[in-house]
Amino acid sequence: MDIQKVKTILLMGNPNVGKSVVFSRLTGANVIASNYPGSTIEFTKGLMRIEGSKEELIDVPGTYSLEPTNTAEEVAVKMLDEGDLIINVIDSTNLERNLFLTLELLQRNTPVVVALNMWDEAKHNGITINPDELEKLLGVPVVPIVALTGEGIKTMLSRLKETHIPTDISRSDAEKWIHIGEIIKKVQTIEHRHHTIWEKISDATVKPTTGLPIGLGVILLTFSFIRFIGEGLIGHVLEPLFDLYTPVVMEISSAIGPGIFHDIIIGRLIDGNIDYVQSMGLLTTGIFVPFGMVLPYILAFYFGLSILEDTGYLPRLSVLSDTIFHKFGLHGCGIVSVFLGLGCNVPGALSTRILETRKQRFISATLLAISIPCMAQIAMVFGILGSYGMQYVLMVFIALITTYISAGLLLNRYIAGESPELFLDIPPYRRPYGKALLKKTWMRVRIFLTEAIPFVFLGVLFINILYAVGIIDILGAFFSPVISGIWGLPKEAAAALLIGFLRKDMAIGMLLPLGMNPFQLVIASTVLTIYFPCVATFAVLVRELGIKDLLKSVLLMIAAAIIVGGIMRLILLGF
Amino acid sequence: MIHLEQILTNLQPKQKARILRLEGGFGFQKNIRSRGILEGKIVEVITRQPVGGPIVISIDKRTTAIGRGMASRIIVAV
Repeated sequence: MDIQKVKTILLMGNPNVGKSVVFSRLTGANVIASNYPGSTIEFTKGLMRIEGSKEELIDVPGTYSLEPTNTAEEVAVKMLDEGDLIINVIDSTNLERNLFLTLELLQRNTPVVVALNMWDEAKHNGITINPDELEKLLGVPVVPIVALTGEGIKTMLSRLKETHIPTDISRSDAEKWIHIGEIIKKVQTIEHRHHTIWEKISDATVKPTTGLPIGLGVILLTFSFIRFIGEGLIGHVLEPLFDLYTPVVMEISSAIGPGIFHDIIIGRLIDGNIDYVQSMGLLTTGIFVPFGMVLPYILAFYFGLSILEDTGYLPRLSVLSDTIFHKFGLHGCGIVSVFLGLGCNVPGALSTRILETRKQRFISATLLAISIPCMAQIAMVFGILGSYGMQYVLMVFIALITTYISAGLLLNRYIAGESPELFLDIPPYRRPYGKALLKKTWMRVRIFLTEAIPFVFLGVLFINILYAVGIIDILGAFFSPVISGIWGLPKEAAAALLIGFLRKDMAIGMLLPLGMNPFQLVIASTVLTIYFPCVATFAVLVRELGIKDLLKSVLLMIAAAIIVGGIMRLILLGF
Repeated sequence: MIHLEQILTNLQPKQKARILRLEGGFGFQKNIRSRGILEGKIVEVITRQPVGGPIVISIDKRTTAIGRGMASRIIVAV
């Protein structure tokens, strides 16, 4: 057995230098995303093997300097103390500005190896760097690599043991920049190249006149891609699987026989058959909703989003939408939380950390919880309202968008605090790396699986017990002034609202047997989105915002649900 | 040649200028420089987002979006 202490190796560098591609290359399938103790900053950790020994590799959040400007960077700095060795990943096409962090790292007492990533792209852009000369000047190993193809990775690993604690002299910031200027003069030559086609596309996608129509097109394309993949998976994989599964469940059903136990495991049979949406049993609805209806779309969604991220399109969308988000006290990076939240609110809420101030994080998290439906909910809204006609689905989305905008404007006005401006690097377009895409998709899907399945089961159990004991009727009577009086819904909808706290997708399914008309379903679906986040998101928000701010946020959600639901009732149902 | 001092926000798309100085506190200056916006560099404005939105600049072929408030504290010579 290996009794040597496992070494911790840190991957550090500026944002967008391909750190996660290096990470995906070096680590196996067993990668975990964990939170830095005492914070909600997520980082990824994995094991890698070097010459027989196992080392721990941590993908540290990207940072421009060791003087943090947001919480993610703060964590990056704190993690420095835990590392035994640093692999400083540098974007070779952008050597000068990357070297600032390198010089800062060289002043710490941790051995450093510098990896000049995107070596091929630099060559292609007419940039020549002399790595030997750079190595001499920095005093630590410097290795050119192409993480995308794996070139140079072996050499980099073999040189890890060569490195030592740097002996660079201490410099002030101004001295560092002068020193960097000198280094660049000695090691880098740039041949002038004309604008490439990709640079032209890059410009076109941030200019408002061309960028906005392109952005709209990209979003529409992404969502049709999600729909295509999601429907494909359902039609060709999941439906056949459930067709095989149904006879098995029917066997179990008849074996158990009627009674409370049957209600919990199989649920209620509709006309003697299993209805996967309405039966509400652990083995029927409990399995079907998360796997058969939602998972395919979640997979497709996060895969699509990862492509937008890894090609470098997302930052451009942030720039284009900055003007609007600024009106809500946020800046363009707020769109990241919206997009992630459309998959699952949990990663959406986690991503509010990239915003700089408390005001921004509060607004972003509250708006997310109020008006961003997750993919699970969207799939159910489409599934249930879609059968009445797409105009009803559209009504839900219009109501939510209007709520997002109005709440955003109000919050910006009344929440105290600062709203810093956008300051964002726009990386060149790049070919995404398949393995990194899959890893990212998988890590996000895994959040859904671990969060969704337990809560679906819990919800099924809970709702069956509540029905059996008669609590639903009591709650329905208690809340009926709001549910019936204000929203114009049957008081039995109380059960759905209660389960909505556990899983919103399941809650929407529970609206079906209530015999509501499509307008009532529109109101109920909207109210279900707004009134409260699901328990998984709630747990993240407790950590993210703190109890006091969360309570404020929850009051806002309830108020928004009552007001929006009331207005919709007046518009759709009349008095 | 006469150099005209300007604030970065006054430049129009496709206009190029040399960065003269950054006006702001230590943290601001450090933050700006760490993104490669350094005195002496040539900056080109790629586009300006409408209604007070950020301006998109390019330095050493690297594109960065920066809010107008910050950009107005960057002094350039046209």
